[in-house]
Amino acid sequence: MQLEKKWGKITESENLNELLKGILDLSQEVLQSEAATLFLVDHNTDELVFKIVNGPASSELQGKRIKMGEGIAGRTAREGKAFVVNRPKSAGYADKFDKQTGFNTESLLAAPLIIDGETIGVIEVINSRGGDYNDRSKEIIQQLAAQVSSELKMTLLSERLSQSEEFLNSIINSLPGGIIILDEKGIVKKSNPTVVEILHKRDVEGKKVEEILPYSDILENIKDIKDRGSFEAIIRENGKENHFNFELSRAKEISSSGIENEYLIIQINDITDRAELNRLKYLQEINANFVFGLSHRLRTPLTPILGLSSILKDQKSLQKNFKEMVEVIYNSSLEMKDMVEKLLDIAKIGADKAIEVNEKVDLNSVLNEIISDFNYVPFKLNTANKELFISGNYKWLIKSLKQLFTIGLKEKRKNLQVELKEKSKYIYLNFKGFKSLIDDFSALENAPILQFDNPLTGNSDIKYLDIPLIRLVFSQHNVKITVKEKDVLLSLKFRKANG
Amino acid sequence: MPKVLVADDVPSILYLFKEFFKLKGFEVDTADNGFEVSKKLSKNKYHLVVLDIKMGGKHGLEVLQNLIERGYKFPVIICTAYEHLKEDVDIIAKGKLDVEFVTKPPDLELLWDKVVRLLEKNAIREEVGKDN
Repeated sequence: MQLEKKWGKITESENLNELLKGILDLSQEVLQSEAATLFLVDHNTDELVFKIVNGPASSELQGKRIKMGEGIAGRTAREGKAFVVNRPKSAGYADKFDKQTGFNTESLLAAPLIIDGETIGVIEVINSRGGDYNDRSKEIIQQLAAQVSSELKMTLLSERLSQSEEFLNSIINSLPGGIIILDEKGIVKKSNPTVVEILHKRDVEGKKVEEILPYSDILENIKDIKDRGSFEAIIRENGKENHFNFELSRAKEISSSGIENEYLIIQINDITDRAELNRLKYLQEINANFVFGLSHRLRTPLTPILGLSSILKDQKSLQKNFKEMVEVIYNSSLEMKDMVEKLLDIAKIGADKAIEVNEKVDLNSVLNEIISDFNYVPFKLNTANKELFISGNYKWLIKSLKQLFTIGLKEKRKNLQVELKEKSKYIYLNFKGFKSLIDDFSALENAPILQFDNPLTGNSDIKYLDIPLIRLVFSQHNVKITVKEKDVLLSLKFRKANG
Repeated sequence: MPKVLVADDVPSILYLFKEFFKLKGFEVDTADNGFEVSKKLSKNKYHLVVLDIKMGGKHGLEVLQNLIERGYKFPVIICTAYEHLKEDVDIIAKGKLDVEFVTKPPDLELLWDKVVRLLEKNAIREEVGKDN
């Protein structure tokens, strides 16, 4: 086979080791040598490694190391130039490896492998069968080394690229939800298998985003998000509504030629179950509030009907038939009163439906329930000590209070104590009194704790925060929290520790 | 003749209490909002005040707070449809004013029992006050 053809065949290989072995074999053949070695530089240890060894001592030398500058190969690497050494022992070179292997080095030719000015290895042939190595041999090995370096550069780059591609794929595939990566033209460059499951679209890569997500509202939202952001959207398919959360972020890539490419990363999560649960909860709350409000409103017109008929029915001066009429009105209004009370009870049941107050509750599940609503704010849960720390503003406080008081409300009304501990810029609300709800009361001495910005420091004005369920009244020395939950009211008054 | 001030923003309820207390021998005065209550209290002396909570103008709890701040000692009956406000009333008035809490629609016999109890308690206190 001609040299060029052989070279072509070698360089077809995509595997680095195969390529190096092929080049070394060819060098050995062209330079008619008994043995050949390809060294690679280990920059971490400043050593040369016997990467591929051809010849009688191959198995003994494979993987061995020599210091940079040591021997002819070491000098070649250090100085970055080719060396021809015939009869090396008489030229003063150490014969360490000859002694170890029993091999006899008669002549040696070495050239550095250089990529972008950096020596990355050495190619070496040993014991010329056609007489001593000469300047022509040196020229040939230098040419071969240059070719090797060029091939190595290409292969290394392609290997790195393929590794980063694999790495990127493994990241994308491990991420929750569907991932779509779009280029600046809106074409899908990459996606993960979850996209197929979620959107029921196959072979999305290479397609335009409009084909993958043919929904004008979603496309508008994507267009509107300049840097990063998220939105929720409903996709109707086969008469079914699916709720999705879209998280958008951007990534930049600078190519080797310096061109900057920007990619849009879209993460899609199916939140249909969560949305449905929230909708049901919302409807339940509306329903309970409506019944609750209605039962109270009915009490007002009922008051004069019942009251006046009760006065009239006892009037001795009233004619018998009129008295009977009034008694019918009175009794009917009593029935109505009873119905209103029952209606109120139903509203209460609706509001507390999720809670069986006399049932024992596992604190961890209670805390986790609360945390599930706080997954987007910083929090720390120490399950060992059953403590919950939530950092947030009043909004979070109110939300968490509502959650806490919704759980076992009636019990808490009797037993709950709340302590205020002031420490630096935070207030700690220490909830106690879960005794009847939780197995291990001793573990709850200090839990759960809600931590929020201290309204008591730095402002002597009274602050009111009045919302339908919880009223907070802050003064310099006191905090009063009134929790109104249906017909139950809980008032808590806190005194500033040093106030 | 004992004098009562009844405050509620629903005219039919005001009418009911007016007739009820008149039959019980009271002189009855009425107010249909919180501001009017304050105005009448500063001009007249009453033996009893019947107060709704959710009224126009001043909220009933605010009126109650004002009564305490001004040092009034007459008994008060809170009559509201919202029973959950009882504890709020207790917090505001406990140890400061004699207050009874009644939910709408009230049983008039029970209401009258409460009125009698409050007035007796107040009368005793006034007697004790005179002795001292």
